Amino acid sequence: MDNGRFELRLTGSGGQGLILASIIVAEAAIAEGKVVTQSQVYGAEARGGTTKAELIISDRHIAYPKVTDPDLVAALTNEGLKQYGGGISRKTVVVIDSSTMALPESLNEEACKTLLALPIRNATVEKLGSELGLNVVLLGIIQGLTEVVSVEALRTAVSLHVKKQYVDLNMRALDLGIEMVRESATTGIRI
Amino acid sequence: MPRIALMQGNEAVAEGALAAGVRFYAGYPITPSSEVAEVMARRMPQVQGVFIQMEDEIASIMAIVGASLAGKKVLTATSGPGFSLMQEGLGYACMIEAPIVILDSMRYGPSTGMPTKVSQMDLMQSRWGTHGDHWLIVYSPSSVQESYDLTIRAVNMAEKYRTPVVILSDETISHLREPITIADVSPTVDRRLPAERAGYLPYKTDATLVPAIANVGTGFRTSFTGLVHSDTGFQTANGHVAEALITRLRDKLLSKLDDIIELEADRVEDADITFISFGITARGVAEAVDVLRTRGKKAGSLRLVTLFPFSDDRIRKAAGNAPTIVVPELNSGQLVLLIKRVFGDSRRIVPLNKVNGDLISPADILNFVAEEKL
Repeated sequence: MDNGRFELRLTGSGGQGLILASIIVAEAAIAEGKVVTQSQVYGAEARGGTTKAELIISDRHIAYPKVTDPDLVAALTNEGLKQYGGGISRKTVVVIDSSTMALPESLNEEACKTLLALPIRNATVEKLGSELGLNVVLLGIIQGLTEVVSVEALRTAVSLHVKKQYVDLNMRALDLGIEMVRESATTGIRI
Repeated sequence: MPRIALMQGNEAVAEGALAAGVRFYAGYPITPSSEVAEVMARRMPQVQGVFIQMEDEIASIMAIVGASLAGKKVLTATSGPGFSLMQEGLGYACMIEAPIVILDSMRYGPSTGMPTKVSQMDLMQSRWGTHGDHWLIVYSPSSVQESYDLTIRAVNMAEKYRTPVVILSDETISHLREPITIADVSPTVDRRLPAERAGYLPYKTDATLVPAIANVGTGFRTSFTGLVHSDTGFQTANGHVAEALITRLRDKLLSKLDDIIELEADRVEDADITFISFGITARGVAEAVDVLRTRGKKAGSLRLVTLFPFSDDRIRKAAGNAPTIVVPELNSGQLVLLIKRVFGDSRRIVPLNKVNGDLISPADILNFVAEEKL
């Protein structure tokens, strides 16, 4: 966190659970005494459209509530990165899903701090049996990369949003994301 | 113990209303206010309240007026197109002195405009949307916490002064999620009711200028009409009675400005440039003022929490002495007209408008200050 403030943007396709993911991080941050503002692009699309969720976490009062200077941008679709990749700078860590996305030409060493390409969707399907849990895998990745919230707070926040019988699956999804970051030094593509 | 909850602006309005004792909601869903109806549909049955989805906004406001007259604390929520339809009922509520609360979550207009895009284009409509000389209270939240707190206050003020109160919010605040603190119990105000049937006249008033009108169905003989009426509640075309009524409706609010008006001044004392704004726009201003101060520029901010009644005197006093006043707003220039009236030629008044459906960001303000050499 830079100056006690962290700006996160998630983008992808409607239905992937990105808005819920941003709410879960928000709740974990609040539990740890932080201030947050969470917002999302608001449109007529219900599923399948390009979507964006934003979260600011801070030690102090947040005046302007929208993300303008992101610390982390995670994109699950090319279209999402294209539409909502604004504001990426040398301070921004960019995560893309290499299972569904090509490496964007626009992002080079000059344009961002780190570009991390991880096979998020493929790993989710392989390890968890389906795409369900993709957003929680992403939460694990965010935690692993930034530690902006603790794993414990994130586990509690995730548990509050899933039915009892799915808690275990979601905990595995969280662990998978954290593990992917740990392994990314060898498997992920970084610039 | 007060609890902290992550909540959307629209949820906060619904929960604030419940905390204030609202037990009747009638509305017609419209973007970006629909979550208020969604929450109320779920919550009202839990508190033995009533939720009705009406056939349109005219019916919605008439339903809450009726329920209010029967003694309920009431709320409806809408956006510009629905607020336009509600104007007839709003004027009626002003005239018969029905305590009601309306949320107008502003979207881009006119007409159906851009339903999902933010604006502050209904400012003048909130004050002058219905015809005739009329008076009401308009509050403007700029956070989720304030959406909760001002809704409680709106319900209390409606009851206290028997007046419609508008909460003028916007798409961004409606859908923003922030942590808010919720008290165990919130202070509530109940309308004054008549003590005795003997000699009861519904619109007879004392020094408070607020009549103690009996709730319908409690055995008092009461009449309500949008026509000019005497103390009896029955119509008259007597010019003296009309003048006294319209003057009292004005004075019952204008004599209580200390209680009604809230302005938030930030670092205006030594400011060379002061921003006057309301609602979501004030959030961008707050950040821009911080940045300008770190750059050595003496900037300040005055945020209008209460938009109407609009007190020229209070705003003049609260705004400090900055020679330049910038008025940023998400419309083509509505608040700036009032600010020009307040200050005349004594200050340089500069409008900053944005009408593309996006917010005025701190960067927009900083660029504007640089470009205009303010």
